[in-house]
Amino acid sequence: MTETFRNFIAGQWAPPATDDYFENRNPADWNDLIGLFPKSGPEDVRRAVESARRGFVEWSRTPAPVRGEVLHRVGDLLVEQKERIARAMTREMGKVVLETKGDVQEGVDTAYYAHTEGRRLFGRTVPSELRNKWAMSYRRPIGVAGVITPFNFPLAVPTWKLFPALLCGNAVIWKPSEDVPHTANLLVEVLLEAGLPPEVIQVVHGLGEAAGKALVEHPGVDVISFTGSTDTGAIIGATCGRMHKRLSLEMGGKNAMIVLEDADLDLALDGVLWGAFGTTGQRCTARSGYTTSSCS
Amino acid sequence: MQLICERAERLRLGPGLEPVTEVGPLINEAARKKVEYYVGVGQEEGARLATGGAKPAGKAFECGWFYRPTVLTGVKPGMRVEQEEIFGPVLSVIRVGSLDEAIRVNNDVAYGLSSSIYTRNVNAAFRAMQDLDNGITYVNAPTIGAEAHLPFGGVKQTGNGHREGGWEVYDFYSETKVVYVDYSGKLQRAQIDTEG
Repeated sequence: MTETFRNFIAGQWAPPATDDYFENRNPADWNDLIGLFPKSGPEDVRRAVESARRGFVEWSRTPAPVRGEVLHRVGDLLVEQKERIARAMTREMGKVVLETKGDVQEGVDTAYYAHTEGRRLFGRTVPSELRNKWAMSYRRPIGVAGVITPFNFPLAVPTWKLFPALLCGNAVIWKPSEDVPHTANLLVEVLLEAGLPPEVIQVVHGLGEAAGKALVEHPGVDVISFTGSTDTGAIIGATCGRMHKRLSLEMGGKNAMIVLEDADLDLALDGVLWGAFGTTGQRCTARSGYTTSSCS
Repeated sequence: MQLICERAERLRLGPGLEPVTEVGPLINEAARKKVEYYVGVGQEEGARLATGGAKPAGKAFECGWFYRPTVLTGVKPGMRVEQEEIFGPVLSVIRVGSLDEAIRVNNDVAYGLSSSIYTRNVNAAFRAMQDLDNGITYVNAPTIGAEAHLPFGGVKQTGNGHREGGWEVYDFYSETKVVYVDYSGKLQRAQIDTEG
């Protein structure tokens, strides 16, 4: 019996308006079907935005230190569930469990860091040039953040985006990679269990050209953060430029390693193997150039 | 070189859920096709296949997107395998004559995420930290190992100036609001009532 997974929209696990699904299979054994996930479209994104706008009103008025407490609980839950989430992640993504546990740990670190930031978010108070006048700045939430993430770090990279966005008081709509949708649902379960108000997080599964595109183009989404290919980033950049949306892009890499003659060669060898072949080379920081210098 | 190949050949491929596995499969068919394509391109451009370059043999690998850890040697600056992101287990080895040349080769790609240098020469390390055109440089460590509380991201075609992680990401997800409070009880005009 194939399990059918859902989006998380408007505070509940919801089937896609498209009534269309895609398969998620284990890359180490494609006979292992993990489940069917929603192939969402613009209508699903529209519903998510409508709900996220409501979530934003409540969440943005929650004091930042209180928002931080929620993220602290998220960190605690990720610690408790590390093994379970890591194994699910390996099943759908392929990298070894040692690495998927590291992926979860990065989420833990990011959660605890966000927690402490809830008691900072410093503004500045500066002197005015006039008498009896006060001048200062502070940081305020923006609105709804659209987050689009890749397959290679199914949990860590999303937490880099989700946790600071949430800590700052934004609502988030997340379109995870269609290669790792199961990890996304597990992370949302953790967020809800930690006490995040349900309308503050929305997950819309699907393909970039449909769900991702609708998210980037929706006028109710104020900020976009994307990690993925340079080609897709260029398309997103054009849309965000036209619509005056704030945009963070993290795209390709080539990541040379230089080994000079005087280097500790055993150390360099360990490093090059881990860099080139860890995560089967599928990291944006993967080592693909290795440069040796014969005279330095 | 030989050591790299020997160690690469010894890496145990398999499903990531098995504890003995060191290298898992690629994510999907398109990813493996891309790797196969670039290994072909590299050889056409004159690089030598030192190890790997194929799917692993054996029944255990038949139903997964596995690919052997691959090393290309004799890679020259400007080749496509040197310039373009392969996103798979392919290492290109380029020989250079000096640190200056190594820095030039690193800086002459369109991307600029991270770089690393292995040396025991403190002058060379600081030169590299200064001149490598990337968002992150590691000294005596691989380009993997970013920590959550430091900014992460790259220059050129890798990014658009923002950083994830660290303190910088909190600026990205929040808006600056400036507030002036005039408690003088009279109209004070900035830039005009300048006598103080």
